[in-house]
Amino acid sequence: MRLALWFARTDGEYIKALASALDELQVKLSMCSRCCDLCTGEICERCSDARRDQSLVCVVAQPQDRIAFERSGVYRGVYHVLHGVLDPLAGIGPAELKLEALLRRLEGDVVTEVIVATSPNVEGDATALYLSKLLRPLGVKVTRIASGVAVGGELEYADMSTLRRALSDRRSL
Amino acid sequence: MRLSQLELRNFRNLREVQLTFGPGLTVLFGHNGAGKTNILEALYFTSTLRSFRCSELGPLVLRGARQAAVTVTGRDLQLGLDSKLHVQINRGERSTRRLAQADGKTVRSAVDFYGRLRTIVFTPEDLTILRGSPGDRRKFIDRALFARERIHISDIQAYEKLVRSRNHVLRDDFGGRTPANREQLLDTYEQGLAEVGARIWTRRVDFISAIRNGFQTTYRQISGGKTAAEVRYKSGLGSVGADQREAALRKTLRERRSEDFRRGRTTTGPHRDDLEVLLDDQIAGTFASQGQSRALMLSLKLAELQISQNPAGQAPILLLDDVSSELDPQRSRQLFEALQGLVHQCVVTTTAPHFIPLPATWAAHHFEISDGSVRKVSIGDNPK
Ligand SMILES: Nc1ncnc2c1ncn2[C@@H]1O[C@H](COP(=O)(O)OP(=O)(O)O)[C@@H](O)[C@H]1O
Ligand SMILES: [Mg+2]
Ligand SMILES: [Zn+2]
Repeated sequence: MRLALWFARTDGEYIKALASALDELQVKLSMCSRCCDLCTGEICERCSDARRDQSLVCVVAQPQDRIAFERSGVYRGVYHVLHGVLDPLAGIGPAELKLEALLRRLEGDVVTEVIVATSPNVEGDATALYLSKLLRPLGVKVTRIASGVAVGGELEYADMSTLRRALSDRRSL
Repeated sequence: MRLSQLELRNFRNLREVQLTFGPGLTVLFGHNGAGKTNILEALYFTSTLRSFRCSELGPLVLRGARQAAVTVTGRDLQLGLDSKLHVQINRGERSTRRLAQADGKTVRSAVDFYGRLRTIVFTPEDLTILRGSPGDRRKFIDRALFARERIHISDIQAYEKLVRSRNHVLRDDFGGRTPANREQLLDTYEQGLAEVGARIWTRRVDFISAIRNGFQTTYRQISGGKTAAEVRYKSGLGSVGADQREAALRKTLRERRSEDFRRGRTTTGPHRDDLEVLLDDQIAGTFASQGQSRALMLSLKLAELQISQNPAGQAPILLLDDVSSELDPQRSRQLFEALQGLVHQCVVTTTAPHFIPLPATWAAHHFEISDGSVRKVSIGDNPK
């Protein structure tokens, strides 16, 4: 609505220029042929970075999730972006996810561990479980990121599902 | 929380009323349509933020008014402090919203607010639990469980989503169509279903075995002890030990796969279970008389109440709507004798005060409700 009003007040030349810029963006943004992340070339920066640990693949649902990991700077491996999670109710099955590209990456001996970093909910859990069933037979180690109480948060404010996860994913000290 | 005062503004037909409560029995009497059930509804609403009569909030606001408010004052016996719960219902152009506050602080999450005032309600419509579908009976157990363990609701929601997801996979309702994929997908959803389903199953079985004794005793007390009542959790998998349930569910789901595939839905699991209420070994829903059904339902709710005592020994407040209308005078007397030992506070509605037999050792307060207004009356001094 606000955008439409803005268009109505702006002259035609400007709108044409804007449209072609958007068009260009669309053309330039393609998908990394290895990890399926959005990028501007054939292979993304992370996949072509020799300093990164190419044997460690962190599987995320969306490019935003990858960005969150990168912003934190805590991870030095590479990624794989599924572009979705399993959700039959929304018509999303394995064929709708970037799984073939992931399987291709595992054909060589480079990758030794796949870390599944999907959200701790029904869809994220199903996706993680399905991936483990799919990948384990290939001899690769499959792990899932831990979930639980927010670091720096107060325990008493954590909701019950979070507390249960935190308990069931506990580890020995 | 022990209830001491209720204030209503523009709630249903009650414009501006105030009631004070003591321990024991509070009798609300008055003609049909006076507003008695509305008062119980207000208490239940403060307890659960929902009505037992309708799913929307709009009808709770006085016709023509924009805002209703309910304020409950009580004493938290565990903490030894007075406590105030306040809920506003604001009727807007498009939607009706509620604002809940506890001791002046806004509580956003309904789950957080739920049960600060604990109530158990019995209304004539509860008979549908015995006579209705297995789903109605499962809902009865799940509500009671939710009041005890909040986590139950998130398990139920996750489980329902998993069932629907598996059904979609069975029906090939989406892209991933290759058979190899489907078997692995079914494995995935069945593993989730078995894990969450076993938790739900176990909670329900434990609940039924916890209330069974109280249910039978209370039914014997109300009915005068001629017919034997029984309650059982009926799983499609029969009786399975707690530590075997997850494996049993997984195995059965696996075995039923081709059958389920033909039917296009999941035919086994806690979403198909039932609560069996029996009278003389017969299913009560089709066998029991109206009065017997009422006594059975009351016994179920009173058994729930008995196991809901908190560490301070306090049971929820019992709200009984029109309870005496279908119990004969003797059953009614036996009911109120039984209540005396179980309940600390009970609010009951009736058309005439003499329908409610007053047990000797129980304090009782009477309010006459007429056309949305409330008048405290002293029955001993002022016989109607
Ligand atoms: N939103 C509302 N505004 C005004 N009156 C209402 C509203 N909702 C229900 N009522 C009135 O409340 C009365 C029913 O009250 P209720 O408590 O069920 O009666 P009873 O005393 O028989 O239990 C009816 O007369 C109905 O018209
Ligand atoms: Mg009524
Ligand atoms: Zn890449």
